[in-house]
Amino acid sequence: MNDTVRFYLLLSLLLLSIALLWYAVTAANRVVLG
Amino acid sequence: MKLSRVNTLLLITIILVNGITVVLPFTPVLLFAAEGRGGQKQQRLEQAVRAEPSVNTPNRLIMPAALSDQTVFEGPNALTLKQGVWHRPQTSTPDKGGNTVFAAHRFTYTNPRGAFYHLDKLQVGDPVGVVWNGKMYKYTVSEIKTVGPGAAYIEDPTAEPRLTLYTCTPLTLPKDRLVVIATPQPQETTHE
Repeated sequence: MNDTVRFYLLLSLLLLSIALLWYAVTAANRVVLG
Repeated sequence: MKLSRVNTLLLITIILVNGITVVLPFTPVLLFAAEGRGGQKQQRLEQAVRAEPSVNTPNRLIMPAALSDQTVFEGPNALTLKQGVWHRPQTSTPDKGGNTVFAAHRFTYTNPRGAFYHLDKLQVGDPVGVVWNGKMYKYTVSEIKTVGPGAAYIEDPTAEPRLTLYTCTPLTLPKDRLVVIATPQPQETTHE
């Protein structure tokens, strides 16, 4: 795997990770208790 | 900068971001273990429950067994949960008797980190104190149960004074509600 392919793969993973963290941060605020 | 070096930085960033996502929800467990049940903080909180608060003390919920001392916030809707413990509107207050209901998030990444994170640490018989309008109301945990999210009856008015605390459970998949019911300690009953 050359560096360019690896770069795009890692960039995609980073964006996915940030999206997951963002979802986690905001998820609790969407839960309505009771 | 060489692309291989950029890739290394990206990889480190990915590990850090995912590390925060996975580890942060469990940091209160480590802090709780470090402070320890029966330790100095619990003793200090138990002492606070026994003492009379000063008149200017804001409304608070003190749960020594959960190593928790939190301000209680009033508000018309669930946005109040962003501040911490929420006194559910339409429910009673400690000074009026009936069913006083407090709710809070189990865990959020933003502050407050986990107002009711350790609610599951309470056991039947544990003391709970509520400072309300400058007066301490002492309760003892009498019942702990898990109900579905639609169990609105836990907020129903009651003839006897009681304190109902609830939050999401389990921590990792908050689909149900953990409910802790506490009843006034005997000396409080005589005042009602």
